[in-house]
This record gives sequence, C-alpha cells and structure tokens, in this order.
Amino acid sequence: MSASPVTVRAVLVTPLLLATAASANGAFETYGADARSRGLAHADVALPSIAAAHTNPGALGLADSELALAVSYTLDLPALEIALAAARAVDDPLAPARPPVVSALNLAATQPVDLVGEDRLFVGAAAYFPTSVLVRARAFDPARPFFAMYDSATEHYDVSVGAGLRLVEWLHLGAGLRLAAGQRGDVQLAVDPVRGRLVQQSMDTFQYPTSAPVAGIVVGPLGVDGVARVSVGAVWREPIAFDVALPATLVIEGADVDAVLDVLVLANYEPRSLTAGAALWAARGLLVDVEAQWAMWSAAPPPMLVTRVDLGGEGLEALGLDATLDAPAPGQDRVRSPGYLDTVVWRLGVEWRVLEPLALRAGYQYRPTPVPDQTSGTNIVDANAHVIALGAGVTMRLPHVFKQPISAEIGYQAQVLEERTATKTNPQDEIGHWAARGVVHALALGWTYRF
Amino acid sequence: MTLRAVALVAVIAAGCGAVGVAAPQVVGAREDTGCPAANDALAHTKAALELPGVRALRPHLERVLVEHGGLRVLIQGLAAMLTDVDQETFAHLRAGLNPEVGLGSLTPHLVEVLRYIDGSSAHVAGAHPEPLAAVHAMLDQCPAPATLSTTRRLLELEVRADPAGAWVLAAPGAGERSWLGAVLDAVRAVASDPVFVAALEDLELEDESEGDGTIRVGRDAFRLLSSILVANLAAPDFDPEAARALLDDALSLRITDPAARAKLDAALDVALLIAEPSADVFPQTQALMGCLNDADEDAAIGGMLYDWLTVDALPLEAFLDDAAETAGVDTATDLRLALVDMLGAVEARPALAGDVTIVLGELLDEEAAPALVSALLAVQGQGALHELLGLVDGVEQCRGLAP
Repeated sequence: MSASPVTVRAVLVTPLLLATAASANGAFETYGADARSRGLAHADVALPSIAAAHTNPGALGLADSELALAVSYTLDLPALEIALAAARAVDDPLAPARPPVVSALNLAATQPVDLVGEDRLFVGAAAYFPTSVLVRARAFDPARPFFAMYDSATEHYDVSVGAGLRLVEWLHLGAGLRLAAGQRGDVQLAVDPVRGRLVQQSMDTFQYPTSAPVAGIVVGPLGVDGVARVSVGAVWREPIAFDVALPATLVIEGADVDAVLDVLVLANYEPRSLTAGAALWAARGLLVDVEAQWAMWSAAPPPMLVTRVDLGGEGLEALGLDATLDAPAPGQDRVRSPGYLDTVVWRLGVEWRVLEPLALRAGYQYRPTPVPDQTSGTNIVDANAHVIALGAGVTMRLPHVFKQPISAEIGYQAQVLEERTATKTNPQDEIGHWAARGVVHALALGWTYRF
Repeated sequence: MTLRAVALVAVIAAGCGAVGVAAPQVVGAREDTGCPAANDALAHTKAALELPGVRALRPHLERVLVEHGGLRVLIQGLAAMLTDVDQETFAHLRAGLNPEVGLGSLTPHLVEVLRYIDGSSAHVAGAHPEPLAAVHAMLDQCPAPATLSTTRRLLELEVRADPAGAWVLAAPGAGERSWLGAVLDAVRAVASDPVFVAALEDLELEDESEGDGTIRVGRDAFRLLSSILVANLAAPDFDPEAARALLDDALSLRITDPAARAKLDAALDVALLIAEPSADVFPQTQALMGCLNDADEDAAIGGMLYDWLTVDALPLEAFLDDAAETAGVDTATDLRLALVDMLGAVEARPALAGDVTIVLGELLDEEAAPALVSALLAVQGQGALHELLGLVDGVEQCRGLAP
C-alpha cells in the first residue's frame, strides 16, 4: 500500500483543566509557627516571638537586641477516620482519603538592623519545610471523602519574611510577605498518526515567585512591671496559594484535531484573615493571651479539579459534532463553589514561668469549621475542632558549648474534631451517609538561641 | 444598636462554623439526570462485540488493519472525507443507515443475502461464497479509481420520462428519480410475474465455448447468458443492438404472455440505459463490465441473481417491494447523495482510493470473508447499529441541543 502523507490542520479537541487543590491553612496557621506557639494553641498575636515574621510582623518591634534563632522539628500525626454507611474497599478510587503523617523543619530568626537608630528596626524570617515533599498539590474527585484541613494542607513549604519598627516603646508596626511560588510553562506535542511519529515535542516550564502581604501592629506592653502589663496586637494577612499553569497542546495531524490541555492548579489556598488579641503579663510569671481570628473562607475556590473539555475544529464541524461532545455540559458540572463560610477562631494561651529557666504552657483553641453540611455530590470533610495544647520551655547554660543560654522547647497539640455526620438528601449519591471523627496530634521539639 | 446586633450575630455565626448549613448541591458522577450513562448508551454495541461470531473476526481485523497497515489507510480516508464532505452529508448518512429510519426495512433482506452466502439460509441449501469471492476479486484486480468512479456515477445517475413515458437518462439534478430506483421498480414488476420466472427456469442456451453444442439450462444457462452479456459490454466493439437481440432471443421472445414480456422489456430498457454508447456513463459501465468479466469468470453473481429470481422461498418480492419503497423516500435519496459525496472525496485521491479498495478487498478475502459474514449475522438484531447511529442524536438531546 502507498503511504501518502496527509496534511490537514485545525482545532478539534480543547480540554481545559482547572485544578484547585486543598484549600486549607498551612502548618503555621494550623498549628503555630514554632514549638512555643504550638504549646500555646497558636495564641501569640500580641506576643514577642522569634517567628514574628509570621505570627505578627508588628511584634518584630519587640525582638531582642541580638540575633535570635529558633529551630524546631515538627511531627503531625492524624488519627482521623471517615466511616461510610456503605463501606468501600481500601483501594477503591472513592474510598476516604487518609491524611498523611507530616514531619518538617521549622526555622525562625530575628535580627536588629541599626539603620534608623539602635533597636528600632528589626527584620525576621520564619520558614517551614516538610521533610519528605517540598510541595504537594492534591485534588480529589468531588465525590471522594477527604479531610479538607488536614489532607495535604500542611505538606508544603511556608516562608514568611518581615520587618518591624519600634516607633516608641509601646507601639510597634510591621509588614511582611508570605512567600510562595507559581509554576508556568507549556508543552507542545504533535503527532502524525499515519506514520506513528511525534513530529513535535517540546516543553518550557519555570517557577516564579509569588507573595501575599502581611501587616501587623502591637500596642504595648503597657503597665507596671511585676504587677501587670498588657499588649494588644493585630495582624492582617492576604490570601495565598500555589499556582500551577501548565498548558499542553497536542496536534493530531491529518485529522483536523488540536488538543489543548490547560492545567491550572490553585493549590494550598489560605484565606484572607484578621487576627486580633491581647496579652496580659501578670504577677508570678503568668502570661495569658486571648485572641480571635476571622478567616474569609467564603472566597475559597473549590478544593478539587475543575476540568473542561472543548471539542471543536473543522473535522468535528464537518461531522456536525462541534459543540456536541463538550464536557461538562450545562447542568452536568460536578465542581461548584464549596460554599464555605467565614469563621472566627478563638484562642487562649497561658504560659507560666514556674522558675526563671522553666516555663510551662497550655492553651485551648476553638476552630469552627467553614465546611457546610455535605448533602449531595461532594464529601468535603471537616468539623468544629477543639485544640488542646501543652508545652514547656527550659533555658540552660552550657558555657563550654554556647556563650549565651540556650532554650529547649516542646509543644504538643491535640486537635480534636467533633463527630460530624453527613446525611445525604440524594438517594443516588455515590458515597452515601458518613460519619467522621478523630484527632490530630501535633508535636514540636525545638531550641532557641539568642546570640 | 441594630448594627451592633447584626455584627454580634455575624461574629457568633462565624464562631459557630458551618455545621447546619447545607453545601451547594452537586450532581453525582453516576447520577441519572434523565440521560443514559455512556456505558448504558453503548450496552448493545459492547455486548455485540463480545459475541462469539464477532470475536472470531478479531484475528482477521488485526491482520488487515494492524499488520497490513489497513488502519492507517482508513484514517487517511476518513481524513479525506472530513475535509471534503460537509456536516449535512454526514447527517444524511447517519439517517440513511439508521435501521429504524433509513434502510431499516431492507435489513432482513440483507441478512437473507448473508445467510445465502454462508449457508445458514432456511430457503436455499448449502453455502454460496462465490459471489463474495467475485466481489473480492473485483476489489483486488480492478483499478480502484475506475471502480469508485463507476459506483459513484451509477449512484448519482438520474432518469426522466420521455413523451412516450419511457425512462431516459437525465443530467444530474434534472431527473425525476434515480436510475437505480427506476431499475428496482422495473425489476420488481417483472420478477413478481410467474411467467417470467417460469421462462427463467426453462432458459436454454448453447455454450459455444465448449465447442460440442452443449446446451445449458436453467441456472447454468442464466449464468452463461450473464457471462456473454458482460463480455459483450466489456468489448471495445460492443454493439448494443446485438446485445439486446441476444437477450430477446434468450428470454423475451420465449415469453408468450404480452404483459410479462412488456414488463421484461421495460426492465431491460431502463437497465440498459447505461449500456448505450452515447450515454455519458457508458465508459464507466464498460470499464466495470470489463472488470466483472475478469473477476467473475464463473458468473457467480449471475448465479446468485438466478437463485433469488427463481427460488420461491427466497423473499425476493418482499425485498424488491421494500427496496422500491425505500428508494422513493427522501432519506434514501439523501443517503444515495451522501454516498456519492463520500465516494467523490476518496475518488479525488487516486492513490488513497487504491489503498482503500485493497483494505476492503483484504477484509473480503477467502480467509476473512467467512468470519466477516458470520460476524455480521451475529450482530444482526442486537441493536448495535441503531445504538451507534443514534448516539449523536442521543447526546444532542441530552445536551438540549437537538431541535
């Protein structure tokens, strides 16, 4: 047989993928930015902190006059379960997803910068690096049950940088950036199906920096030393996500087919938030911090893959199928806004300096869930959570090793989810009723050193 | 005070979370919203593919389409059609092939033809693979462009009635009906006449090739007559009057009943319009006859025609009735013209035309043909064709795009 070449062109297939993965806070916002913060149930907006670049840039104005460094290792152990009324095999594609165990290294530092006078300007940084993956972006089928706030939410790096200004002894302002990255590029493929040959194959992709601004203020501490001092703090954070846009184009020569595959992932979305709180230093080394955080979850995108397939081109036009095979068709879209509600999180942290070198910590946090009742089609799992925290810090002198005292910190949280049930209103719902419960154990071990 | 109350309620509500608030409703992956799922919409087709008769065809399909590269050729052919053929043509093709709408009434008759070939007919004993072998030989040996051209010309050929009421060839678009339809009507009229059938059964013809005065009778005579006619038509010095005289001597003049003779004459008149040297289509006709003469030396196709004309049990009359009725409706006309357009698209590419006929020929070779016929018989009545052809309409209805 002869093998006459065919050269026909046009656009036939245009699949579009818009993927938005886990929309949940990162590790810093979920647990706290360091071991001390974890032990206080993340109630630290009005407190000085080596991790102030994240907790509140305004608190950088309260930083030490020397370089301060904090390093910690964290381990997050989810013990969560989703019990389906109609059980599925473990390897079933729609079996409930299990959040992974995440371990990470936390780094934080503050440093005075004597540009505008001594101890007026401070800079700081806080970073979180999972030990097994740098970034995970995961988007499940809309029907698959998964824990929205714990699945892959904390399995990505988190970096904050900031600067704080001590205007006067009791007024501190700060601003910073939460750093992230985006991924862009494209893939170009062309195939000749008659010859069975790829006639074009190229790729160009790059990561680019993104950021979200953070601004904070701390007023205080005001009061009488040894009696009572109060500080008030507030921090505003803009939303942030990890964007991936990687379109791939496939041209099928001879059949009037072009397939354009647009992959857009808005992974690891964290909402706009405002946190405000107050701290009280009382007698006998007692510190109490209370705060509330409003999180604008209502603006969150769907935490799943949004895909569109557009089939068109001269070939399909000739067959009268130009718009016929597009998906999803009207009314058939399985991805919609999740309908999250804004939430207000309440936090209480207590630190008691029992002895000068020893501090004990405890905290409580009530985290309402932004996820509404799952009644049909989706199974985004989350529940109101009660966070119980414990922690301690010991300051030691090791003169033969360190010139300055070094502190060892430990923090533990149990994030206990209220049992939540889903009663489906649609008898054809693929998953059916379910009940979710469990606890996430979050542990941090670290040390701080002030040079 | 009111503003404070609203703010307080909002804060409390936000503090309580989203428990008790229903999430937006989302359609389930497998939820029935009035349209069948793809698996259900193709259930009959998928089931048909698993039938033993169809599975037996797979090795042959792999040989022809994969090992011999037939799939590439078919893709090229499809690409050519997508380029040259418009949406309306494909719509007419789908409608015409739909067993429920288009050629539906002919399906049982086509099945009878297949049964006749593979020997499973309840009306005629034994298998008769020879006609299919003849078609294979034609695809294999005949110049593809010429074959396609002839097929296309015959499909688009039209006739009109002259002042005397006889059919004459008309220019495309200027005819009253298709030539094919006129032939079917005329054949139906004569084939239903028992006088004609009896004349066929009594047919006698001397086989001059034997040289010993052997007289062929009945089926053998009809086959011989077919061979002679085809050979005459293919000859460069073809004489239409001589050919007509041969037919008259062999058949017409032996029919004493005037009505039956008139029917036969009418059928021959319209059928032989394409054998007039003055006709535009004559060169294609002659080329086709030459090909047939070489490929079907034993006149197997003629033998099949004889069987269908003379075996009472074979539902020829019903076949012709349905065929004539089908040919008269718009769907059939649209199908005919759609096939003309599609053949034209392939015919315009001679090399591709050659390759396509080779592929089709391989699917009808002596290895694959029996399996192909068995597979076609196996899927008959399974609803697969109707399901496939109705898929696009079904999808459009589901999308609300159908008018």
